[in-house]
Formats: sequence, C-alpha cells, structure tokens
Amino acid sequence: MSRISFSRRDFVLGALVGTVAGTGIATALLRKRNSPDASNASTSVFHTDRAARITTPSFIAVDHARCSGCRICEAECALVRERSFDYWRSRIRAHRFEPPLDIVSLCAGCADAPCVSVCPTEAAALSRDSRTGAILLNESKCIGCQACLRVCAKDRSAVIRMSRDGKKALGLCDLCGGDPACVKACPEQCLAIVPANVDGKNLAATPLVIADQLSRSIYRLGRNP
Amino acid sequence: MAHGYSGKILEIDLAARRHSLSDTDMKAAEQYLGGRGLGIKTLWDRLPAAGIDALSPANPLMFWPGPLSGLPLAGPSRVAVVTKAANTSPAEPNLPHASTLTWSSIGGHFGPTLKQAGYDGLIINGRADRPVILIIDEDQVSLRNAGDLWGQLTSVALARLSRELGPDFRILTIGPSGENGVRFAGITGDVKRTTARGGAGAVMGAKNLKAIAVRGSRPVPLHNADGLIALRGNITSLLAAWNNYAHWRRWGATPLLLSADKAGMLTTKNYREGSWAAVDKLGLPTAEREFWLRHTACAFCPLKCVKIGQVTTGSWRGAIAEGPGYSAGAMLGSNCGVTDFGGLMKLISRADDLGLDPIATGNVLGFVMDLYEQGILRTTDLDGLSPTWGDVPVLLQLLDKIAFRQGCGEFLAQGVKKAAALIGSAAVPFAMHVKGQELAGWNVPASHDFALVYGTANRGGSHQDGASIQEQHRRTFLDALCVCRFVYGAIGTAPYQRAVSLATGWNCDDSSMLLIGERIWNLEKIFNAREGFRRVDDKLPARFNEISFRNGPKAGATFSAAKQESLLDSYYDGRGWDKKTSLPTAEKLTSLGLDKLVK
Repeated sequence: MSRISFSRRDFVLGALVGTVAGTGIATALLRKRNSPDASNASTSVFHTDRAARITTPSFIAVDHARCSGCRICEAECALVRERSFDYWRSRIRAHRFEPPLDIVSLCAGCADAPCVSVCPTEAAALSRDSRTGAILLNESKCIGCQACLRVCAKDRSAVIRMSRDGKKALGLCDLCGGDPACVKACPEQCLAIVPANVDGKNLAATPLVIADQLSRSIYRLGRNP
Repeated sequence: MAHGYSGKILEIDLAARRHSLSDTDMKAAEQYLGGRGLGIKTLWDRLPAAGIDALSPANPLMFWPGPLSGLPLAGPSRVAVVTKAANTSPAEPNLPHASTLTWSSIGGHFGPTLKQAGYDGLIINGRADRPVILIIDEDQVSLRNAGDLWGQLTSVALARLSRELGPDFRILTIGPSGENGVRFAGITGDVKRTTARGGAGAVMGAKNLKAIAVRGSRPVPLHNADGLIALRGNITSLLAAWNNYAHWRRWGATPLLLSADKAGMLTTKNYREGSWAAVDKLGLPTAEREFWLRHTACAFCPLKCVKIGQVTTGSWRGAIAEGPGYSAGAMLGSNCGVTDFGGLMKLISRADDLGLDPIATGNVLGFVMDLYEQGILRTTDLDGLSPTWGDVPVLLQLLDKIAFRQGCGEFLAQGVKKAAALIGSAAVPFAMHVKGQELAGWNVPASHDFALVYGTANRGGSHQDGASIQEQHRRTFLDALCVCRFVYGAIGTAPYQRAVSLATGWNCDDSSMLLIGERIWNLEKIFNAREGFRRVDDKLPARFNEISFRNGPKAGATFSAAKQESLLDSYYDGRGWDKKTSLPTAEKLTSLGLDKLVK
C-alpha cells in the first residue's frame, strides 16, 4: 500500500493542468500519472515529501558553493508562481561567471527593507507579510517608478527587475506563501529556509560581488589561465 | 500558428554588418525538426554546389536549437552547430576544397537561451572586415568590434564578456586556434565544453567572429503546455529512478576511463593498445579526492556531470579544468601516454583555453609521438622538441605551436591526414582518421562496433553516431532535438517523442522518429556524396588490420580487413545503399522524399 500525501506542489500543478485541485482524487490521479512508479515518488528530485512550511518570518539562503547552475529552481518558480515558461518572471535566477561559478540570487527579505521604504506612499505597492516575513509586491498598485529597483541594485542583491513592458517591478520573492517551490525542487538541496532572527540583509549582495568572493575561496590558487 | 517554434531565424551578414529575419520553413521543420536536422537541410539549400571552401565567406556558420529548447526539461540543453567541415576530405578528391558537412553540439545554456531570445536558428554569413563580437539581446542585435578580445584565451574572453555584458548573457567564443585557422579548432561554451568535431572554430575564425553572446527568456507558443508540465515531472521521476542516477551525479563520465580500460577499448599510445597501466592515475579516485571543487549542470538537468577543479600539487598547481570527461581523458591522457593527473588536467585546461578540439588534439599529439618513436619525425623536424610518450611540458609546447601555427605547428594544425601527407608516405599509416576527421577515444580491435560508428558517421571519425542503423536514426532524431546523449542513455527516446507531440501538435512516435532520423542521415550522405565521398572513405585506417593488442585484458584483439569489408557490405545492404559506391539507391531516396533534391 502506498501512502498518498498531498503537498502544495501537487495542489499547484493540479491547478496548472486544469484538474480540479483540492479534490484529493483528482490530485492523486495526476500524481500517479506523472510517476511511472509510485514507489519512486520519494526519490524525485522535487522532494515532495520534505515539504517545509514557514511558520515564522524567514528568508531563503543559498549555499552558492553547492549550486550547479541547473536553473531547475528558476523554471520551477516561473511555472509554479507565474504559470509561465518566461524565466524573466522567475523570482529566483541563476547567473554564470568565469572561472566557473553559478550564482543564484533571490530576495533576502532585508529587515530594514529599503525597497519598501522608498516605495512612494501613494503607491504602497510593497509591504511585509507579517507571517512569512516575505516582501509582497502588489502589482496592481505598482506605478513602475523603479525606486525599489534602484535601491536594491545599489545596496542589496539587485533582484528587482522591470517587466518586459517596462511598467511593473518584478523579482521579489513571496516565499510561495510559506511553502517555497524552489526549495523543494533544488536537486542539490542548496536552498535553506532561515528564520529572520538572522537578518537576510547581511547576506544580500549582487551576484557579481558574491562571485568575486566565492572565486577567491573556491579557486583559492588564483586564476591561472 | 506554429507551436514549438518562434517561426523566426536570425540571419547575420557580417560583411555588411546587418542582420535580418527570415521565416522558419515549417514544412521543413516537420520533416527535420531542428538542431542537426534543420541544420543540414538548410546547409544543403544554401550550398548549391560541391567544393566550396569551408573557410570562405560562402560557408554559412549556423547555430540551431530545436523545438524543445528552452523548455524546462532535462535533456534538450544542447545547440547544434552546423556548417561545412574545415577538416575532412575524400580519399580521391576531384575538388580542392571537398569536405563533409559537420554538426557539432555543445551543452550548457546557450541553445535554450538562443531559442528563448526568439530564434529557431542563427545563420551567420560572410566575413567581417575586422574581428567582431555578436550580441543578441532578444530583438536587439548588434555587432561590435572585438578590439583586444581577439587573441585572448577562451577563459579570458568568457570572463571579460560576462563582466562587461552581465551574467545573464550566455556566451560562446573561439580561442587563438580558431582565430588562426587550426583545422580542428572548436567553439568553447559556458560549461567548459567545446563544439569539438569538424573545425567549427576555424570557420568562425575565418569569419572574423570572436564570440556570440545571447540573452533571452521569451517562451514560444506550445501546443499543450499543461501536458509538458506534467511530462516534466515524469522525466524527473524517470531520471531519479535510473540505476546510475546517484553515481552519474557524483562522477559524471569520468568512470568510463576505468570501464573502457577494463573492456580493452581505451585509446592508448596512438591506438596501438586498448588499455593503459596508469589509467587509475588519470581519473577516479584522484579527480574526486584532490581536484574537483564543484559540479556544473546544463540547463534544467539534475545530472550535473560537468566537474570543475583546480590542480593543487605539483608542476601544474593552479590549473583550472573540467573533468576529465571521458573523451578528453582518453585522448589527452592514455592516447598521449600521460601518467600523471596534474599533467592531464593542465593539457585539458590549455587545450580549452586555446579553443582546440580535445579529441583531435590528443589524436594529433599521439600521432606526433608515435612518429617520433618510429624515427619518422626527428627533433630537427619539430623545432628542437623531443616528444616522448607522456612528456607533458613538450606536449604543452606543441599545443601552443599548433594553436598559433608556429614552426611545426603549421603542418600539425592541418590535422593528421594532411600533416601525414606533408611529412611523407612513411607517416601516412600512422594517421588515425576517417574522412580526415581524427578518431575519438574508443578503440576498435576489442569492439568492432566502433569500426562501423567511425566509418559511417557522416562528419567523419566520430564516436557519437551509433553502431546499428536503427541506433543511428534514434541518435540523429535526438540531435535534431538537441537532446544530450547521457540523458538519453538514462531514459530513452520515448519521453522526447512525447515532448515533441506536446510541444508541436505533430504526432511523434517510434516510426516517425526513425523516419526523421533516416531522412536526415540520408541527406547528410547525399551532401557528402556530392563532395566525392565513396565506400573507400568509410574504411578505417589500414593500420587497424595490423594492430594486435599486446597488453591488457583484450591482448591479442585484432580487426581484420575481411571484417571491415563484411561490416560495410551488410551496412549498405541494410540501408538500401549501393554496395560498390555506397550511394543511396533511387528507391531509398524516393521513400524518404529526398529524390527531388538530387539530379
């Protein structure tokens, strides 16, 4: 007898494929169809059985040294959060450097949240989710002024971008409401949910800065072409 | 509406410094898919006659993703580079520049990103009047002067371009060997791998194009996106259930050095042996314990088989390199008689930096050391160098001479076939190639399958093409989708047939897969036949008929001339090709819809 567990991932994918999500039978059928062998479900790289729910304000920290740059997190984010194959809309993005390093970056949920501070009061498009600690972007309120983008690029991780039409900010991670899809999808398990008693601000840096530091530690004998 | 395709091909005219868009021929796409398939169809359409010089502006250099590129599936992470080969030639050429086509592919993120920049293909025509780089940022396409990037090593060019353009860009670049027209120069990409076979780097260099950078994330319309998302979960589960999943993620292709040695298939000292006493010094366990620092993956693949490390001890301390993957490890390791790990990694690192095909390079170096041992090449022929087996410092000097075409590097840069002809008839038997393409890292006497693989591969002595007709068709189909051989080895073709059906709306099954593969294979054959390649060009070097392994588990293994002939006879029979000429019969071409292409 195989036990059937329901995770948010099944729920969201169920919705994506047009199944009536939330009805256990439909979700279970979907899962069965997706897995050639139900007993292998626990060995899936998506680790559906290790779902971690955020119960206290938190952020996601990346173990850059372990990241392989496969961009499975990036695709997962676009599919689950944006229902799109457009990775520009992903809230977690992989960048490539030479000597070979892959730096994944996403919102660090800085305690002082300069992006929220600079959001024009009339817009108030950015706010803090008091339960998960994530910084939420209300797209309908965003006026596209780019103030948040500039301050994040200047002082923090530079994760905020403009939408393709240039009208809305994007790139802020809402932690999937408390059960982040990327954390479960990472085959290297290099994404960790960290309670915000560590301030994510201290880890926030642009991919280039992280790559330069990491390069000195990983390729510690220097670049030697 | 076309599904799975953007419908647009980006064309670059380097001479006029202009770009334009052309429409993807969707009828051809249904017959050839993309990648290697649509590439050869386009090459045939663009080159109306035989004998065009591969290094002339008339030869298009093309980059083809496929209909699955950019989808978040493990497998279709590659891009096919298709052009007329710079290094091949028929045994009896009627035209001075007769050569095969070549397709060569590279993993990483370039192919998926090119597709998501909005293009089903990238065709580069002409030649720039000075060195340039091509930057594709979705609709914004620009050429800029390469400046002092020209002449730089590949790692330096990648680092500088990535810093200048931003780390969202995925980059391919040539090294000094491509700039200098070395016939076996490749194009180097972002996961320290190379589009190695066929000299595409020399073609790119002849166009004065140093590098291509691309950024993009626009999805193409899909027939059934929900179905593809479900298939994604399926492919992930299938991969995780593969019995080699854990060790492949941990070790990549490196253990193949040990298994090929055990099977007597490791190329050793210019192919004279099938095993190598020092094989345990070249890859595992040293690679993992002392060398590897990180694992790198191609797009959307959990296998992460690219292993990157830095040599920590000895003369080559500090060298950063990839692998050894199997091919580079065998060709620059055992085939060169190398006995130390650091030396092998330094050779791989330097070959990568110079932009050389590591397979052909190891073959050329083995050839030089063999000739030196036989007394056919002397120190005076080699600018004072004495290349004995495994002498890494001398091999490194030879690499640079080849890449910069200095001294003896001038004739070695032509590849073993042409170099042997220049050295003299005594050298010819030691040139291990088919159709002028240097053979790869799998030896023949203990496994005659590779006689057929090397012999009948349409780009010349390549190890990638399959040992049976049906396997050749399966692999050709996958190359048209830019799917990786390793993921295919793990989960087969069925998921990708399904993916094609879901992405495009066409019904793709076993029979359509094999038909598409056979059509592409035969069109490639016609291309080569027009250039003058015949049955004699499908034969291995006669030296294989004289080699009998003296050492190792397969001591005594041989490959006879009679076996060579019988292999080809039954192969041509099975293909519906004429046994005497090797040309496809009219019936065969008609059945594949190719008859109208041939007069």
